[in-house]
Amino acid sequence: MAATVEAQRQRISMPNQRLRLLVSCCLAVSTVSASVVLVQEWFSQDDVAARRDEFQSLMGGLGFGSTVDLSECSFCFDPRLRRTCAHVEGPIPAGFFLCSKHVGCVTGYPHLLPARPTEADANDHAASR
Amino acid sequence: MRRLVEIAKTGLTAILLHPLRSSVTFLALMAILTPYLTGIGLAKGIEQDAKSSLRAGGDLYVSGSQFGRNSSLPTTLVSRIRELDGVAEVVPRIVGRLVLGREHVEAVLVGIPDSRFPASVSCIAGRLPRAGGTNEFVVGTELARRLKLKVGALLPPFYRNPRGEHVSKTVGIFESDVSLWQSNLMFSTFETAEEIFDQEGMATDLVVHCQSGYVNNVSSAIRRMSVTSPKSGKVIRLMVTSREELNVLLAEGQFHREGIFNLHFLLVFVIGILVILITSGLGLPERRREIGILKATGWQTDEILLRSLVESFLLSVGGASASILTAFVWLKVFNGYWIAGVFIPGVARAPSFPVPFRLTPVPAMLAFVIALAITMSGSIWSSWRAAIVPPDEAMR
Repeated sequence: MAATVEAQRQRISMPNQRLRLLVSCCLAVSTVSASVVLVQEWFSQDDVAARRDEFQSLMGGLGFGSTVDLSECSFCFDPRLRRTCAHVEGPIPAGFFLCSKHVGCVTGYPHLLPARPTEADANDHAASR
Repeated sequence: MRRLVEIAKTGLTAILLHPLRSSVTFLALMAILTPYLTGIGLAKGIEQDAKSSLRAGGDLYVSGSQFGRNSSLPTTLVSRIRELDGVAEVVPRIVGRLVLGREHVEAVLVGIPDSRFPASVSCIAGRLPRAGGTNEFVVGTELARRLKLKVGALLPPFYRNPRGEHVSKTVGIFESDVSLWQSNLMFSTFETAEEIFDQEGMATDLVVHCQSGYVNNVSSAIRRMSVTSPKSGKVIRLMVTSREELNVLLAEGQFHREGIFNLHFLLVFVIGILVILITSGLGLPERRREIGILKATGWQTDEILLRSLVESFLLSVGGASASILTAFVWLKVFNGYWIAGVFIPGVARAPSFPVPFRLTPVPAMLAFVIALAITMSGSIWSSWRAAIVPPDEAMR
């Protein structure tokens, strides 16, 4: 019994040394590589920033969300084109959750609420009365 | 201290003792973390592009509303807004949806007055469209690929206009790296867009550039304006969206990434249970016996827990690191093949533009914490349960 326990203990504490070294190296290499990727990404320069700004300047600012066309939901493309998801105005209550552009996208933002009347608006309203 | 380090080293031994268990845990962690990191990376990339869109765009965007829905605006409004104090420039714009060809390819048509065009641009391969004569377009890369368009290619009439339809010409293709939103774009002069949509004298929105410090005043003044539709004579309410509002929206966006991440949480839940079952040693009495043997040879409960903690830590570090590398290679080398189409609706399986992405340290740390929490919730509790019983019972 004692010999069996000792053999098992040996097996538990000393497995294949070569395999152990290999796994240690793999772990170290993957950790260092991942760190290098993160650091490189963090300090990376945006090479096409000027060209991107030129494009946006030409368009007057276009695109905001994670879709590339206006089918179904232009709010998901750019809230400047539509302030809410089209499904909010649809016949189905809570239809927002059925919008295929929202279900599948990685970016999300709240709907643009109508602007609140300012003091100047209130004064104008009072003057008109 | 030396003893603690020696015990910690046995954490690696514990991983090697059950290669199948460790491999399944490692792969399950990758299955959870890789889509998460890829999605967050894409979201950050799109956010960077959106910032550029806000920075280079106008200060205010004016659109019309009837019955609470968007409506077009008469271009006569441009001169009225120009007269306001603090307004530097007003640009009428048409942004509309088109469906082209037998395959019903989605396109976004943008029309801007050619007086606004710069003399030369570097974001287009070809040249800018000109007004008069043939309808001229600059098209996006995805549209060019799907419709097999090259610079100089002619498009047969694809729209209806009572005054007649014309052949259109592709005079340029956007450079693929300028933005993801160029992919389905058809860019032309304002006059051409008016003709295509048969909406003479109308614009979908007005881009207003203000002098510094005047944005709020101009915004209020525009909202108070009264506009009527030239066709029906009915009132059009004006809605103004400011750059500040959009900046706030962008900042709030990170708390509203519900979409695909709800599905991802389901994935985490399902695979996470699998990982917890595996790491807790369910159906693996050998692991319980191991702990019994270690206890019988003099190990304390806290030492066994430390061994288990190191094992979970190494598995989590390995899983998180491999996921970061996989996400990076997938997005950078394979340009988000298939996954970009999943996360960005409307994008083809092989995107025709460099997918925007940015891997940042915070999501990477979060991925590691998720991995550690999942592996530890399985292993620590089961190790502790096995360690507190007498060794002979654990070895049985």
